[in-house]
Amino acid sequence: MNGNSETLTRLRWFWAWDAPKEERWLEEMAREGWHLASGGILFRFRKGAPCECRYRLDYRTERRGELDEYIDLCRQSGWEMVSRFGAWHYFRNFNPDAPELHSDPSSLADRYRRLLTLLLVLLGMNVMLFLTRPAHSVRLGSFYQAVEVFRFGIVALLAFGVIRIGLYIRDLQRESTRRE
Amino acid sequence: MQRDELSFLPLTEATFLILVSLASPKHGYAIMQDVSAWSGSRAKLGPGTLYGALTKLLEQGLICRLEGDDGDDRRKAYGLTALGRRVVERECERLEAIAQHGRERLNGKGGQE
Repeated sequence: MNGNSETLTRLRWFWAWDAPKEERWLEEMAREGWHLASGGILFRFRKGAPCECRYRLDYRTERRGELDEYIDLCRQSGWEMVSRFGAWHYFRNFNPDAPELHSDPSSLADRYRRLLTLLLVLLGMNVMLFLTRPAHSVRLGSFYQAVEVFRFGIVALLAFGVIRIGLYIRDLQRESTRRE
Repeated sequence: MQRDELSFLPLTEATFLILVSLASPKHGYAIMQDVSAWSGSRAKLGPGTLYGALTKLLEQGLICRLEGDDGDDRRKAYGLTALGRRVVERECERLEAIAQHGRERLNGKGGQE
């Protein structure tokens, strides 16, 4: 990067159910004058004037045309898409009076249900793979044992993700009914 | 197979306001402005929630996309289907009946054993 646009790179990991934590962090960075340029795991920030704004993460899986329509709709209501990382879209709004991206938490819960479905499919496939492994693999030496441990680790990680996202969806749904 | 219109009732306030707004065809952002103008700050509708509701209503066949003249997908407006219109009519009748019942009771009419 050239001298007149100062940038900052940060490596940080956030779980999907930690999105609110990630949003608060980005807002804190903006208060210090660091504005998100690209997000994900490796975050890039550009230096600018410190300001108050809201960041929201949105998991979108629509096809291209519909996604463009959605991003358009967001922009018209003040939610600018700053960056995307796979299906994760980073939206930013400078107007404190603009409505929340998901004014009803249940529509956000619907997004996480999509993610949950994906994780459940992956979990199912990995459990199948793990269960159908050849019984004699245990005797095949340390390399195969390491593969076995790795595969078990993936199953455990996916199961952990399913539980945490399931709980997060439940919380969002509760918040939605509380507001009604 | 089409669902019976009564099976959609009762509608949530947001769904009701979105459908009513589509009595004349509109694009997404126009729906948002229309709903906010009517309900004030009480029912501020965000783009994520609106888009989720529109997707659901499209799947249920209560609304449809109207072809734009320029063929651009993004410029397509939404409109009520015949089923959507019937659902809104039934909901209006239901709400009127409830309101009437409430007023009668408050004025001491009916309800005594």
